[in-house]
Amino acid sequence: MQHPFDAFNGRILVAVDGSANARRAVAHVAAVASCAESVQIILLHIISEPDPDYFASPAERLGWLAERRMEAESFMADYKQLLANHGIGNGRITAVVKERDCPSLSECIMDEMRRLEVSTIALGRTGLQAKEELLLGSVSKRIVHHAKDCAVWVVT
Amino acid sequence: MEQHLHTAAADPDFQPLAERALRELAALHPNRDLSQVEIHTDTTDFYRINAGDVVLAEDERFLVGNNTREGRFGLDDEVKHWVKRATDLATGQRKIIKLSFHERFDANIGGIRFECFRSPHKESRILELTRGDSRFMQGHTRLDQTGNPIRVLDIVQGRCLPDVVSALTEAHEEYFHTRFPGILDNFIGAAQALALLHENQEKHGDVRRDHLFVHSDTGAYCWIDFDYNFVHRENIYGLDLFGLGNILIYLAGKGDVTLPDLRDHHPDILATLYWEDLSLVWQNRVANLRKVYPYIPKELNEILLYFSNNATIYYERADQMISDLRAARATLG
Repeated sequence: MQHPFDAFNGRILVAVDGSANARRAVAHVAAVASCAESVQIILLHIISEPDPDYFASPAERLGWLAERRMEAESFMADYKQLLANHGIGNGRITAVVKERDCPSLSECIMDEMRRLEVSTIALGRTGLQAKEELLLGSVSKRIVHHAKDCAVWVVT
Repeated sequence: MEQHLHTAAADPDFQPLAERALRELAALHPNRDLSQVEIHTDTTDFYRINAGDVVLAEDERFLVGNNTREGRFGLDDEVKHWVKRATDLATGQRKIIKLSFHERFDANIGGIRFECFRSPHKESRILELTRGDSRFMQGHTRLDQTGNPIRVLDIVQGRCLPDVVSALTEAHEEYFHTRFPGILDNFIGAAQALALLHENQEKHGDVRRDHLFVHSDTGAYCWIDFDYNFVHRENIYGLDLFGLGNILIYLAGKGDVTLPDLRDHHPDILATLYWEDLSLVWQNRVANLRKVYPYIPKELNEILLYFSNNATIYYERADQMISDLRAARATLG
């Protein structure tokens, strides 16, 4: 029996935030998808919630989340426009914004990748210094090492 | 008693508790003028709580002593107003009480910025998780009348690790062959303790040498201070592991081996060092200690190199480092 991810299934997930690197990844996927009308693009942004203790009050947490959602709406609109500029209409784009407690952002992205049954994941590379990688870890590196049954495109 | 009632007049439990606290205080300090004792049931404004006051927290009562002080990197005089020495009025035992202090600040490690915050609830969780485990400071949490968690801490009988190491007078080679194997055993124990936190999805948050105490009776190591937290990105435990690496380099070197020290005392060794030999984060410290002390086994030195400019991969979990530490320990006899 063929594994569902043995082949390209036409669903590309682009993990994004508001950074220039993420925008580059969207632009790259837009260029590829503009050549193949069957490709569906899922723009995924994960709002990684800090420890509840980070907030002095529940109201502050709600305010923080609302602010992050607004930021996400703004850059998602920009990315949709970028895709539209390549002739990719809204019917081929799904935008997903998730609020998650993520000990590891890459794990959260890979969870979504499995849930959404995509065969390709694209993301921008931040270009961390070595010491940043030691202290903070690298999302793209972990996805390259740990993602299964899919292709990983790291756009630099 | 009337003069004491202003802080919690509406609480029917307050008066008997306050009276009990004052009776206990009178027994401990017969000459104390009880009319001057202020009793607090709300610790939100901890600046108002002074030495000689009493704090009531659920069923426990504490006579407040002096504030503690931050003790590293030239901050010896920075008073921590939310951390107070105290006496448990029921038992007469000395304790530390940590009052709730919510603060956020940017920390900078080697030029990398972190958003940090104090997390009293995290410290309370870890105290619960590690109850009875001598590798961690012990204590419990009581709530004040407004729900602020007060951490009631046992005082660790011992000295902090840098005090112990800096008191050793022997030369490095003798230290390394005679004392370091035992020190490494204790360090591995501390790393295993940290792994326990990670297995339970907790981070220490401020792993540094002066947050390790050496029990005066057993010589074993004990982690203190769990209320630091930081907004992590990809690797939730990266900072803890970095802290462990720093401590290991410090212990293997019997102190920090810095470029200025080598320049002043061993320019011949300095001449052999390259950028790759230095700490990845602290650029004036040597991580490749085998170049300075050639008798350091390769297996141990390779662990140190994970924290050097030469590293291309890093530990992601404590158990990876512990496995390497065990192998390195086996080479020391």
